[in-house]
Amino acid sequence: MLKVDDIRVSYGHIEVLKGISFTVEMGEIVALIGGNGAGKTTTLSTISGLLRPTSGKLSWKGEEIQNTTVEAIVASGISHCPEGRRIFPGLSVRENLITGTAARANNKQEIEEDLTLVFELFPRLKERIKQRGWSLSGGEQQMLAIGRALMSRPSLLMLDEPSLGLAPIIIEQVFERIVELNKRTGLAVLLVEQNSAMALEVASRAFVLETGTITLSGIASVLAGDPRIQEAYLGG
Amino acid sequence: MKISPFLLLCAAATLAIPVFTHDGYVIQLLNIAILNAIVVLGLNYATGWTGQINFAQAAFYGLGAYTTAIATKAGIPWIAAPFLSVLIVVIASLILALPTLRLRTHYLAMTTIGFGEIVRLIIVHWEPVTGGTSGLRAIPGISFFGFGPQGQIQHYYLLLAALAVAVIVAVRIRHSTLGRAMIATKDSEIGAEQSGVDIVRIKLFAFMIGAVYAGLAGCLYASSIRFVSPDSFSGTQAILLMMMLIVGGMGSIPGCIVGAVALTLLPEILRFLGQWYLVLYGLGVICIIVLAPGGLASAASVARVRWVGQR
Repeated sequence: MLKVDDIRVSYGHIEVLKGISFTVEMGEIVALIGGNGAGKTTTLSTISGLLRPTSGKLSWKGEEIQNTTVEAIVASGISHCPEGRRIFPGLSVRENLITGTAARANNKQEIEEDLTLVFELFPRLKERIKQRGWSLSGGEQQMLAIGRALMSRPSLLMLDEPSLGLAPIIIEQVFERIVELNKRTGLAVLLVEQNSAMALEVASRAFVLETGTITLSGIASVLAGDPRIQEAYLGG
Repeated sequence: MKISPFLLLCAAATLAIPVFTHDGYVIQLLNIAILNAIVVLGLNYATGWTGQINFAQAAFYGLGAYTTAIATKAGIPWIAAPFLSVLIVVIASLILALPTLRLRTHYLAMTTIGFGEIVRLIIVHWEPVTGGTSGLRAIPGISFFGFGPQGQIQHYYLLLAALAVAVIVAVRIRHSTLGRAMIATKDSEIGAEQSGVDIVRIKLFAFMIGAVYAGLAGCLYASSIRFVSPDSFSGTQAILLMMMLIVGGMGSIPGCIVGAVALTLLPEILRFLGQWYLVLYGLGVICIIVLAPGGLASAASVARVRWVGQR
């Protein structure tokens, strides 16, 4: 469904992605793991159109998207839940969520349906529906960011470090929801995580990114047992 | 939106003012305050909600005023003047916004200051048309096919009606997709883009609707004050408009009105201080900014929470 083909991305003259290729198929959860500065966030930002690759191709549902605008990519069904959440502190929870529908035609009934879905997934958000974004806790903000990303009715959800700065119990909850959503709706997920153990547990396949190249790839459960991974990412 | 009894009381008091004073000077001052409130409400779209600094608002105000002044003095029926003023400011805002909206913060601020200065220089130097520094006098009054307000009190009610329309439009936009997209753009441009908001289009819209407010207020200014001069639309005025927005409370509709009215009336109230008035005026503005960083509107909501308790 999503095909990343030999993508190179540079910041100025520093090449951050040195030709990476991978695919995400319909309905699967794929994890992208790796240390700081490996290029994980850059990969997601390139797919969502915030960055332009210097060479290589991105294809989504058979169409090339490396020169498409961010809004058009969202409208085509790829939703990016960014690192650090980037929710809108000045808008209420409800307004934050509705803003996530900006890329599609505005149909009130559809929006209400989607809100119901997000509130089923994260009942906490419903309790906070009228509160402004800034007044939420870190975990609630993460739920809001994921909820907002779901409002565009994506077929691929890209999550960047959803566990960042959250208490272990909240991380558990957030991941449970993501898996639930994937099982129920067939939503494909591309997950970027530093919390590799958690990522490998929920994903079906995984890639290891090291300084701009993919060094390992395979079935997530197999990778989790790989001694190289255990040593480098799972703490021995 | 629920209409609170407090709001009704304010509206009633505003409507009753001419019953208590027939002083032309006071009413005239209030008329200018109302016009400023409309312009500041316009500024709030780009600056208060979308987070784009705009020092060109006074220039749009001036363009609207001069367009109406020149057109009606040339004999064009008044009813066409608002449309002409809007047309001119929309064109001007496109000329300013299209090349500059990708700029941010102080770069955008400098560009808008430059634009304001260009407009002022054109007004000052294009003497045969604009009257230069001495301005244009004896501008025909407001007239809807021969019917028009007579005297300042009738103008007062007409301008209040215009302000009411400006507020209603602003409230409607705030609670629409456009309004949410504006605030999303201010809060996080990347977050907004990733939610599918076309942020360049939103910024352009915020600038343009703000310019339209200024253009219409300018039109009403020219034909109710009946005199325009470049001083009323200078860089100082642009800074004053920004101050009204900050003092009132960025992003708050009541804040825009309170800020505009307060900063229009304050210099007159302090006039008895002679040349010292500027010192007190400056101190007052600094106090508000330091003590209530969110402006008078946020101070009011904090006070309400304290007295009435959280809603």
